[in-house]
Amino acid sequence: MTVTENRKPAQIRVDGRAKVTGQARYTADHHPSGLVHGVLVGATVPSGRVTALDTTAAEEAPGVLLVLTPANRGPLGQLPDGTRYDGWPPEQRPPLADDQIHRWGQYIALVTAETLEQAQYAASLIRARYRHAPFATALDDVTDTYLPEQVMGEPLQLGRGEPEQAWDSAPVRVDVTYTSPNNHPSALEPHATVAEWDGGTLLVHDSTQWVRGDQAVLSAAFGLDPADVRVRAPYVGGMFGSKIATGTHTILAALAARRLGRPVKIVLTRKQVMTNVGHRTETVQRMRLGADRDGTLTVLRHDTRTHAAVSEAGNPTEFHEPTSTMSRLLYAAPSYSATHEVARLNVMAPAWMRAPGEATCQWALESALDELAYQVGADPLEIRRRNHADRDPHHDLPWSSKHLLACYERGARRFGWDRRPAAPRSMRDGTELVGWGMATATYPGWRFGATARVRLTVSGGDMRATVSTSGSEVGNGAYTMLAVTAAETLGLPVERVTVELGDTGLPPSSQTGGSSLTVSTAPAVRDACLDIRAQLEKWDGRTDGTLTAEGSTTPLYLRDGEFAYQSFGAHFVEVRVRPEIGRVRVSRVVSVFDVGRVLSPATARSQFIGAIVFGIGQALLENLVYDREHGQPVNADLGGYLVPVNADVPEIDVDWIGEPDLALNPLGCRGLGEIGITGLAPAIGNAVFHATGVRVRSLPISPAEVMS
Amino acid sequence: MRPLTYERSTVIAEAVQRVAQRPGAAFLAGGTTVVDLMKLGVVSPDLLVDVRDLPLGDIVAEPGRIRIGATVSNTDVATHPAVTERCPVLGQALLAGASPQLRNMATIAGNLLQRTRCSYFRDGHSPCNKREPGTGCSALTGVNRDHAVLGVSDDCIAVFPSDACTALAMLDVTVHTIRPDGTARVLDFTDLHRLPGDTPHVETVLDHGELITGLVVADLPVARRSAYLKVRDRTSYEFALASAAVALDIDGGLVTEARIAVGGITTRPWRSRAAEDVLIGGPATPERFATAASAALAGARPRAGNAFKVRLAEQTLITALTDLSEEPRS
Repeated sequence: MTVTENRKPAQIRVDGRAKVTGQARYTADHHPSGLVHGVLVGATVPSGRVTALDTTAAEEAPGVLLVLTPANRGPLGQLPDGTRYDGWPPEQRPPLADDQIHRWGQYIALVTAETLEQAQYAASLIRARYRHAPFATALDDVTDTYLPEQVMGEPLQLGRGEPEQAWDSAPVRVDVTYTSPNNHPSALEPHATVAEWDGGTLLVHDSTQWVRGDQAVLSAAFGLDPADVRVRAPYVGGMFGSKIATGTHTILAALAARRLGRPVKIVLTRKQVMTNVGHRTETVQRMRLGADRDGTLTVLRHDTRTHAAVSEAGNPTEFHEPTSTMSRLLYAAPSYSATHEVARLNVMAPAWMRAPGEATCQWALESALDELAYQVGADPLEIRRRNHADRDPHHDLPWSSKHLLACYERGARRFGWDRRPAAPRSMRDGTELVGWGMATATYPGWRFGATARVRLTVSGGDMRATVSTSGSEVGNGAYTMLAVTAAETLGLPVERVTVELGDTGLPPSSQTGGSSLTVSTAPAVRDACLDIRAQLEKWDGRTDGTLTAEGSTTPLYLRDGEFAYQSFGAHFVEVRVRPEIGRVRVSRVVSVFDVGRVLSPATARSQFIGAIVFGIGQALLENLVYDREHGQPVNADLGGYLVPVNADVPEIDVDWIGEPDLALNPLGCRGLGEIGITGLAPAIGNAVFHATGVRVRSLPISPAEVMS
Repeated sequence: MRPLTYERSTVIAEAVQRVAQRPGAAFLAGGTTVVDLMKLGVVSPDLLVDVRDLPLGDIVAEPGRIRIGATVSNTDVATHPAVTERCPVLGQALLAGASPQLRNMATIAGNLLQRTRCSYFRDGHSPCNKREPGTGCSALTGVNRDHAVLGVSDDCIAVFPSDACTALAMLDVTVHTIRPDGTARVLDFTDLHRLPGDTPHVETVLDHGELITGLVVADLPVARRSAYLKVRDRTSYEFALASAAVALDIDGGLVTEARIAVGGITTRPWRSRAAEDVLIGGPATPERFATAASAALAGARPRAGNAFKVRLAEQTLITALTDLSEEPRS
């Protein structure tokens, strides 16, 4: 890879050329010789039993090699349940386990054939008969709910201080309910797997953000030593949380490949992606804010209803949107309470979608706070300053590093917030109303741990380094970020650093999730590079040779008894509204973040901008809708499930404070992939209120509600 | 695999014969509907006769009319100087639809025969009278936010989605065809599409194998001052929640001529003569526009999910009329 000499490391993208020229090979680009194509067949009822599955015509169709169903699937080993954080199955129920149907689209068969077209055609010939059972796909349709104790170890029913008493006696009270719909993390690259066996060893190319998670699940499924399972994902075309759990299709591809003795490729259709890989669940959040007359919070109460999947009953690690994990710590309310009530629906298992819990929490919390600001006659920014948490009120710990007030100050200045008239509906430009809104962004400072290896080769006085770790590049800039880190530490030009990623054969790293890849891997790379530099001091510099070193980081789950680790930010948004027809367009976004030190400005900026665009989608467009009579999602494609197009995206001005968080790691960085979406939707909603005087409390904000 | 024959023809009569003789045959133009629906398994023709080599690719501006060949692309219609000058509403409507890539592929005749975006029609398995007559309509009580409120029946409430046809409905347009027996016929555009009634699978008055060869858009003085307003959730690349195609002549504060069509809420292209009647001869005021909008939506039959569209469509029409009336006359 050549890098133009006059470009500074901060501006490069070391994988840019490979990606734009098609040289970067994604999963579906692999065509090993003898490849067989697999097509999955989904149930067309949301609940019940398959009473008859006729595969005869499919099996007799040209080119068909094998049709896998529950009848002939054969045994699979016990899949890990996630409690050891070493790998996640797609669902608690193993694929093709039995004749029970828990949701529409659940796979009932896998057809494999010599060509993709033959497999598609044969799949269309499979006929299923069902015995229908009652079902529900909407939160409103279920009265039977439960109160889970925790998600991912975070308590869900909790309190501090005296929430009831404080609420009863609060001089100012805001009691509002905000809702958000099902969202789907549909990445550009559909989920895909190419699985091939060589004797007793399995090689899987997979679109995954966690090659080692795949390795754990697949080795358990097939009774293999993990060392005999190699998973590769050097390039992943986006994931947004949906590629953490090992896909059902991944397990089935490996199973079919073993049965056939040939490599098998499965690429999910868009509709299969949108019915099988998990989603962000619907939430109904009641926010009660009690405050003094100047808006100082005395109590914050946060009661959530959301849903889980019928198939996951009894799963000790089942996930659903943990909405209160941020409301408990973001503001200095002395009293606090939260409850989570969960209903089971016949939908795909909920999954982590970009800022899971945070993005939905912030929608309700930051909107309610805006309502409080109007109620007490305070500026929305001022009310946040007034309630600033100088230490983590939930864990009662100091922050490792917090510069939220600086984000407010810089963001307000860049946006021109001081020129904002307080009253709604007071700015107009031609036929459009103009509104300004803001909100706080926040996301935890995870560190899941990693090891990395650096090899320095000296040849004729010329030095080149290779950095290796198993984490995946998922569009987040991992190649560039690690190349820059190694180049800076070794004092080498960045073009002399090669980075290898996404392979279980490389030193183990945790998943590329939780905005944690940089925090986990970059300090490990730096450690290894420092080791190499120490070795170099003893090197005569004339002999050719290779130096190798490994570095590592340990996991740190948000707090270590000494500090609480958290990132912050502030969004300032301008919207333009054509009130007669309810048309809302975001016309300007200024966002400033406190994420520690930024290692790779070019890719960091893209991450922030991408997350902000994601937030525009959450605010104005995204809504996965299920039919309540037949149970299927009705808009499971990118024509019907709306995400922003270029015309929806305005000028986005992103900046960061850059103060290092040296308590979290010696580089002082915190993750930044997800924080951009948090707070963006409420900033837009608050701006819509400022423009129109209409408070929309349900997402997505649509013309019907804004129309005056 | 499903066998499929693909043919190209350069002779109109031959193309018509090929399709007419085979019940499972269909014409293929830009393919932006047919290929899409084939992939979804909603339609499965056994013969596709590609009409793009037929001599139907010219757009000609003549005094008094614009002749548009069937296979002229949406892009070429939208940007033709005669269209932007004589009936800007048509160009605006075309450019409000789809994406540049789709507009470059899609043809104007294909646009007339565009199929609905109803998700129950497109999913290939839900009960749907339009796809499988007699199976029922899932949208009546299902997810029907995007569905029609005008021209609906108890068997179908699917929206006819074309932006261009909303504009064509308020212009004076004829549709020219060649029938299976080789004879030519000329239809008023407003007679081409049928209401769903109890046969929603029959969408036009065309016979099987009848080929649209072109459109003639007659000059209409009022159309020189015309506009298209489309309301949707997303700024681009989405079908209308509601739209309005409007043309106004105003003299001394009075409306002397008006043409009105509404879209995104109707089961077929929908000119509203009731709204035109309210406007013509009356003052060009927001109050009058509101009365016209009420008249346009008078027969609306909304469902649970699309009740908001009645008001949204009224507001869209009022806004389009207001904007146009305030535009300086060029």
